[in-house]
Amino acid sequence: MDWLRISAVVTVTPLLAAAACTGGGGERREARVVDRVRALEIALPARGSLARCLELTPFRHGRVIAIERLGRVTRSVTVTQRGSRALFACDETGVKLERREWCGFSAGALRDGRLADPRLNILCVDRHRRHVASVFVNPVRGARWISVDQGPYTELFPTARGLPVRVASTHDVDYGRARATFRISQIGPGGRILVRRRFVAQVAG
Amino acid sequence: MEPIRTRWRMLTGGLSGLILGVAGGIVGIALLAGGASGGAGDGGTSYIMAGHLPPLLTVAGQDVTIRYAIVCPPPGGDVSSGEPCDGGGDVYIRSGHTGGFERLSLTRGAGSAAGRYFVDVPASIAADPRGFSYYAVLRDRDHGTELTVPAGGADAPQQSFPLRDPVTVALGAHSFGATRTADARVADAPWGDGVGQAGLLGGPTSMRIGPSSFDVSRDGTVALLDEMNDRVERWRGGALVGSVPVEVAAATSDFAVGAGGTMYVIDGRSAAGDTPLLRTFAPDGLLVRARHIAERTWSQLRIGPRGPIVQQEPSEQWMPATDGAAPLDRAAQARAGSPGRPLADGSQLVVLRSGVGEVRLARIAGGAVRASWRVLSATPLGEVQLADATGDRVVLVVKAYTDTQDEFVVLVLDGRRLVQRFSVPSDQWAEAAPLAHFRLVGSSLYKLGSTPAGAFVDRYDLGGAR
Amino acid sequence: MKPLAAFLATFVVALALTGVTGARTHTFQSANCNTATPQPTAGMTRDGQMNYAIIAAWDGYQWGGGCWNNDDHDAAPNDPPQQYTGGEGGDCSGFTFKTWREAQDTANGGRYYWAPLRNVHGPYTAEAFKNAAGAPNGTIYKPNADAMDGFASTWHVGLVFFRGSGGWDQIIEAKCEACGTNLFDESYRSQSAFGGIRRIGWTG
Repeated sequence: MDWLRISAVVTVTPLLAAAACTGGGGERREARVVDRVRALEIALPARGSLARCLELTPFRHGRVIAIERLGRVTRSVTVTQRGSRALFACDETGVKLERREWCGFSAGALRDGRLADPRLNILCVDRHRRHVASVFVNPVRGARWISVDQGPYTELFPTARGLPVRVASTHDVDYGRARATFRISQIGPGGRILVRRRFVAQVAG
Repeated sequence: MEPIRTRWRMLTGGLSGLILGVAGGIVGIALLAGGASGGAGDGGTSYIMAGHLPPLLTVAGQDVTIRYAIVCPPPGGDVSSGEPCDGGGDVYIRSGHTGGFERLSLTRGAGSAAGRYFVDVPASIAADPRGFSYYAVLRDRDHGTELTVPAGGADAPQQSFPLRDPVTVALGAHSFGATRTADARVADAPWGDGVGQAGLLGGPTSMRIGPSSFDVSRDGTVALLDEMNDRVERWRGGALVGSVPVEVAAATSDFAVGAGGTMYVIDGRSAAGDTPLLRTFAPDGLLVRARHIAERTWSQLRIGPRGPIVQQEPSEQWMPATDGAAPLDRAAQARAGSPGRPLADGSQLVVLRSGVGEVRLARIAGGAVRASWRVLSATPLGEVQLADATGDRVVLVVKAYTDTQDEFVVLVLDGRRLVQRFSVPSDQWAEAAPLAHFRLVGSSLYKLGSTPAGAFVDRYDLGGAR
Repeated sequence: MKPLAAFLATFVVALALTGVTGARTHTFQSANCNTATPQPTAGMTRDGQMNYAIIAAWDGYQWGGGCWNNDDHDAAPNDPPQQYTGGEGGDCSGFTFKTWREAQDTANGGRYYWAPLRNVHGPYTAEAFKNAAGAPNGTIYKPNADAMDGFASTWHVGLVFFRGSGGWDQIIEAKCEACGTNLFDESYRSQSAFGGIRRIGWTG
């Protein structure tokens, strides 16, 4: 083997190893948090905490579908009504915004069951005064969880009723630029990774 | 050793080329970008704009204050600093509508919510039974620019008329949810770009703009301005009867159909530093003419006795775009401005939405009020969508609203009383031109509406006019 | 010759690729806008901010934006809707945030001057303004809304420039990509989808 080839191997091999270590290939152990979810159908008018969220929506009569997710950083409620293309989410972290329980509120309009825009909200802060970014993620067919890279751990947000999934993170939130970067995986039955994606959401509209 | 040296030289050569190529690309982009970009421009460094709500119709005993907002670059410094400008000016005012004007200087007030610069109209002028007329010359004292409002100045001053013994209609509190069903749906276009459909601009999380206006001919043909699909669709009896292509901006434009099927479109957007264009199209969609209106902002386009007429701001006047077949330039438009919409019989209808829940309406002929109305509502009233005459009656359509509900209220008035009253749903799922939701043809009222399914035009028959 | 050929080949390829990449990533914002610190201001008048707002007219609309340079020209027209592409202009909520001189800290109700070329959107969406989120933001009874108060729906927000005689309003707004930012007559006041909003802290 000539020196050129030797030097190439010596140079490239560590690079490949580094890429393997950082690119998600191979197995690595990391902490995982699995959120709880419950899907409810609620007759209006509602009461309590949910009512305070619904006040922000146009739903006043009939029944609503409410998907409640409880995670490490946020509790969210995603609300819609059968036959309506409007989708709303309320987010709370336990830290009130101006004495309001729900510090975040986002609205979207479904087209073929999907949202064109993740509807980023960054008004919430957690107990450590970190800005919390909340967005919608459209689940792909077969997805059971949306996995969000939170830095030191991964958080799994369960899907429900085929609706866009409200996820949240304090990791990689660029508050000054009103944007947040999410690294997500969509996980199917048996833990199979269906999709990996990185996207940047912007406060807009 | 020789092959190794050659390989190293090739490697070195390639690496050098790579580095220099990247560097060259970066330098090239930077040079190109430097030519295309720039710092803050000087667009608008010398400008003056105004806002003014004229007291078009007054009631007995009313104190009248004329107020203006003046928007111009601040003294010295950055035009975008957000500091108010050093404005000022004079109001030229007279009793009645003829004769000389007297000059009153504007006073600068502490607050600017309703216009910082004001003058109190002397009681002797405000109370004159003929009314009064006025115009203002507003100034940026630092930069020397001036603006006359209304634009026609002494040739077409703003006119104020007193309501004497108006027919007073007390609506009370509006009862929502009891709307009248339309007598017919004369056009029904699902969203889309196909035949018989209507185009929709905007996504699920932004403003939705659909067909922005329409008009109805005497024979009942509905012409729908489907600007997102660059066409006008014609409907009769609920069926599509034709479609012609028209080249118009994808914005909320207003639309009117004149004699012989000539179509007029006032653009919903304008080029920088210019006023919107009024385009004239032949019935087959061929562009005949595009001329600028007099002022920067318009509220509605209609067909007047002499052709298309546009209500414009800051003058708050109706200005004809043509005199018959002859187009008018901007100065001529301004000189022909009037406070009310001209009608075929030579009279004009003057409308003022006053306070929270009042509409004042007057029919002016020969420079005097011939009939007048005051509509009072306990529920807030929004914009007057339509004020038009049919025979000896007037049809008024105004929005009643609360924080959670809104409906259009239709009133048919004669010289003595309220003849008819009903409400219709607002159906404003997609945006249209602000005052383009209604047209009156004979004794039929037509409404442009939209829902998530599409756009439509409904007809409400008002009964025969006397 | 071989080293020279290698040099030329890699030079040309690298030049082309860098140029294409540079052109694709070069935007109005990256070329012109800055992240300067906003300046606190003691006062803020409605007609002063009418002045600030009208500067943005004709300078374009950018979803999620932004910044503009007061040359009455949209440097990035026809941006794809609802995509952040770094073009010129603000969107409706970003334009309102800057015109109302708000702080990025939602607990701070003070007044901060953002230069037109300062690229900032702020944390509020139209619905956040409608819900009066943040210390500087409040609601107002719609019939009472005056110059530089506003109307906000779930999807859109615009500011009153002046009232119209027939009950409509001249609204200064970043309306849409095709519409741009400009002064438009609107009937938002009477539409129940819109709520009345106000900036707390005007000084004149």
